[in-house]
Amino acid sequence: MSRRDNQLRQAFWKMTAIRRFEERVHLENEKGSIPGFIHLYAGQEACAVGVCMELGERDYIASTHRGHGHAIAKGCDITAMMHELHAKQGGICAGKAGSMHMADLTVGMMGANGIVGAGNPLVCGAALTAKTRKTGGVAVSFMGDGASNQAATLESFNLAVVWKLPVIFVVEDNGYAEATPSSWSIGGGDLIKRAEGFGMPGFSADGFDYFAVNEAAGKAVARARNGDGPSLLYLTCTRYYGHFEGDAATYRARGEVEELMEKRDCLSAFKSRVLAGGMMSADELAGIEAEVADLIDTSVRSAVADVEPDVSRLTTDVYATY
Amino acid sequence: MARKTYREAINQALDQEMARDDRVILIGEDIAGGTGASGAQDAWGGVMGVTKGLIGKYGPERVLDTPISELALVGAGAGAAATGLRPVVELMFNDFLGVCLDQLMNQAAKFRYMFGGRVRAPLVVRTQYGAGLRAAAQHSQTLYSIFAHIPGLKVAVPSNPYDAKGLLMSAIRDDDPVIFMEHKAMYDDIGEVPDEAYTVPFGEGRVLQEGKDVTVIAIGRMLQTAEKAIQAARADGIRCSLVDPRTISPLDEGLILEMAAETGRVVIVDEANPRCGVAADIASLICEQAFGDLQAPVVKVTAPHTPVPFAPVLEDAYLPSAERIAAAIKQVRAY
Amino acid sequence: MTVKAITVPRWGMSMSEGKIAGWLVAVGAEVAAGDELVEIETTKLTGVYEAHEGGGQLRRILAEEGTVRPVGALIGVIADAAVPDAEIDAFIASYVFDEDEDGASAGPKEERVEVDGYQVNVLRAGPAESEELPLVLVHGFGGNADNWAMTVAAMSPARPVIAIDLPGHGKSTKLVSDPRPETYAKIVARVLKALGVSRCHVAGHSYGGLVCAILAAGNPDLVASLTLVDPAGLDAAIGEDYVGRFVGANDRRTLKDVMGLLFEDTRLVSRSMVDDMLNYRRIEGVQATLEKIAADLSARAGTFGTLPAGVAGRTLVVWGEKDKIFPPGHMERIPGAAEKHVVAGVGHMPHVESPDFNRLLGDFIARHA
Repeated sequence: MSRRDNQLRQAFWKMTAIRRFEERVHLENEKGSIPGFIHLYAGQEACAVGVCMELGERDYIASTHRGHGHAIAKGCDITAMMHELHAKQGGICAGKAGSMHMADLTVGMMGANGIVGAGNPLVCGAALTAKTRKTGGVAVSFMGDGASNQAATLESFNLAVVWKLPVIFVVEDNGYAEATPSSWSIGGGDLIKRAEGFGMPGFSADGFDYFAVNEAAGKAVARARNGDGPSLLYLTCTRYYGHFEGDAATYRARGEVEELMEKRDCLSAFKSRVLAGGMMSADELAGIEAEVADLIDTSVRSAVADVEPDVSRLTTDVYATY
Repeated sequence: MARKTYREAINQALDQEMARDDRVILIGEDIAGGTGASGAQDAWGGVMGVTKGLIGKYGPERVLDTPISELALVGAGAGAAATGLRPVVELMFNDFLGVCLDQLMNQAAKFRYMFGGRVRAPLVVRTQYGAGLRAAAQHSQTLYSIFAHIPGLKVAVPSNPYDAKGLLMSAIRDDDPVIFMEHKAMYDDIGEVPDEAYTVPFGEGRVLQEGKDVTVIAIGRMLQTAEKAIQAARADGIRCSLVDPRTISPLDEGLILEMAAETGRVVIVDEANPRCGVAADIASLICEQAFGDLQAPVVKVTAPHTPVPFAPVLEDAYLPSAERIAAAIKQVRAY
Repeated sequence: MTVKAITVPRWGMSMSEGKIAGWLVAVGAEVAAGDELVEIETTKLTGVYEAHEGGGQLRRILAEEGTVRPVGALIGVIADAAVPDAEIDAFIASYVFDEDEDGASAGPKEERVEVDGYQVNVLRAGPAESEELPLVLVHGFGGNADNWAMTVAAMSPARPVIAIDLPGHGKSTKLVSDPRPETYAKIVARVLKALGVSRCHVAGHSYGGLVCAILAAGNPDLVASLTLVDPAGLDAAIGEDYVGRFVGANDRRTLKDVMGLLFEDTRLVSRSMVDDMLNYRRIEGVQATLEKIAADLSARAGTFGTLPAGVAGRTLVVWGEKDKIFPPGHMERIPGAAEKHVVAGVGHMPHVESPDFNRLLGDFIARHA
């Protein structure tokens, strides 16, 4: 199989995995088996996967509160993630993180983050490490439209430019920062211009289109790896669920989500394109879908069967407890 | 033995650790100064000259000036620490904590715990604190209580050049994030400091003198004022012990309780504001765990609960004085 | 005759001031050489200042009990009864006391000698030019030249005194790649050569005693007399597992307990002494060196052979009766020693704990001039 074909298989696998994972988490959360705050990524898969397919082991990403998609795209263990959400000891962070803080630095995932914009400075740090240690790695910060107005983000844009860091700032504009539309909250309305104002180029892409995202990401990553400094990747997309699980999302127009699901769904778009172009067969696609469905099922069963962390773990992983 | 200033001791600690471990880098505003300018490089070497000479020795890849962006630079330190470097970040004045607290409080402090023990953040944040230089309200605060309140952060407050070098070397070698508090009025203080590399462990306080009547616990620069007060109290026949915790977190509770029990009379001196501070924390510890040995209420001598005033006459009244401390010593002795 | 000043002595390099604990003679008393004049307390010890020479009376006391004065400060005046008060007053008024923060002119000076790639710190005291042979002092495991502070003060008026910080200790280079007693003996020999010493009296304590014994055995012309104070290595047994416990003690409480084993009067282990030891232990290289010394000594104690008869014939062995680490019985392993003294009521460090030690040492040296 060609490298390109393998990449397409991987990309479809990851996007399908994210979609099915999020849908299942939505169900389990409704049932009450998953505690806490959940922010689902379904709908934005092409963004996470389009970018992460350009990254390797030595590259880092930081994510947002809506982090499951980025985690899966970067290679975090899906079963461990499901355990984590179920607050079990076999979780990817031993049950101490939950949805909003899931991380695995061994695969370069610096964590989902409960603080909007906070990943941006961290990613500058990871890029600094790569530059200082000459690893050839790059660091990617995923953020939403809301984060684009945070001080942490703007300072990081500037610092990355001044230090010429190998960073890619990825803004996934899904139209809403919590309940407030991006069209209202982004002063000047144009994040590419904002990036250019800071001294770095911006690349736009249709976030519903895996191939467009991947191409734009390729440019930004190549620029960073080449030592030419940071860039902004601006992706328009949509989220299918509310800001958080429990959000009725009445700030969205009636039928808005349904129309996007029908007309712009990134998975459907991917399938149509690869089939039309003869790049993958219907059987291959179905095979992947079945494999993923199986994995998600298994991960839930495994999570449910696992035990909660022992209470003694309350005071571990910290130097002093008084 | 070599005599060095507090400033030189800190510089030497940074120098020796950077020589020993090439993962140690320095990040901060004007820690060299002159980067990108047409005049001299290393123009400042830090606002108080603490980092002077290091860019010349280690180069701009390991001594990084920054724009005025505490949130980004402290966060970059946290991110670099989580991914393989051992950064020493300078927060120019602890009063600027407000603009970067998230990266310390919610990020660096919590990585180890939140990520199930699988990630360490060996970050050091050096920062200036304290009143006495007429720097006024926004450049004179003592905020170590805020840091100590956050689980996951370690906090060191060296009171002399020897401890400054040893604690900083320990801080850099520590895999947890450490806030290293330097009193801005102490940089020219002189003390005996070995030229060799050495460490002072965290969680170990020190007894400077012993006396059977009253135990005085003081933090940072307040040890010098406490010493004067203790000398004055000697004239009244009162003999005092003097304890320096050296690190606020972890705190040498054992030593504090032992020394409190020896006399049963305790005075705690802290130049921070009184509410929710380290002095109150230590007083609570003693009351809870050494109650039976107490002969008098535990008395705190702190600044008033006000911002730091500018006028010298007011700032001098703000800081705990030897007279106020001596009065507190007499008060607990007479109880 | 002249008016003589009594000043606060410097006992050890880190002493900067002393507190008058008590005068042992009253104004008007006659002063003879060796008389105990005043008890002085420092952060590290309480010692007795003795008159170096005789003649005259104690005429004035200028620092009463309880006062603290810096090293070198004038605290008393000795003069013949015939000297008028006005002259004493004038002497006091014009007494120039140089409060030089780097060190008063009184007391030992430090020198660095480079030997075999090590910087060796050496305290030198006493007359620069002298007919008397110098006395060389070597401390024990984990110690330093300051352990000999009282001996340096007592001996240095009469002769040059050289107290050496063995590498790994004090202010000498800390990391020693192969620290064995033989290596140290060679280093001491080379240090003495560099200092121009061709013949001397040598005294060593504990591990330092072992080093000095090897030095003397290998350099009999260098060593006019040898004094071994509770020397190590004579027997395989090391009491209280002292060496292992010392190396393993890294916090104040544990170290205080272990150091208490050195003395009969455990109150001698002051907080300040423990703090200094902790600070020393934390210098880079120290732990590694001490561990190597300990391992080597533990493995080879009892196998270092015997002192050659010629050297034994001019060897004094001093032992603390209550030594918990090496009991006095080990003295039997040096049958040919010229003199042996068990000092009653003290532990492993008679040179620190016993007020009689310096007299014993001084008398012995005088007999082997």
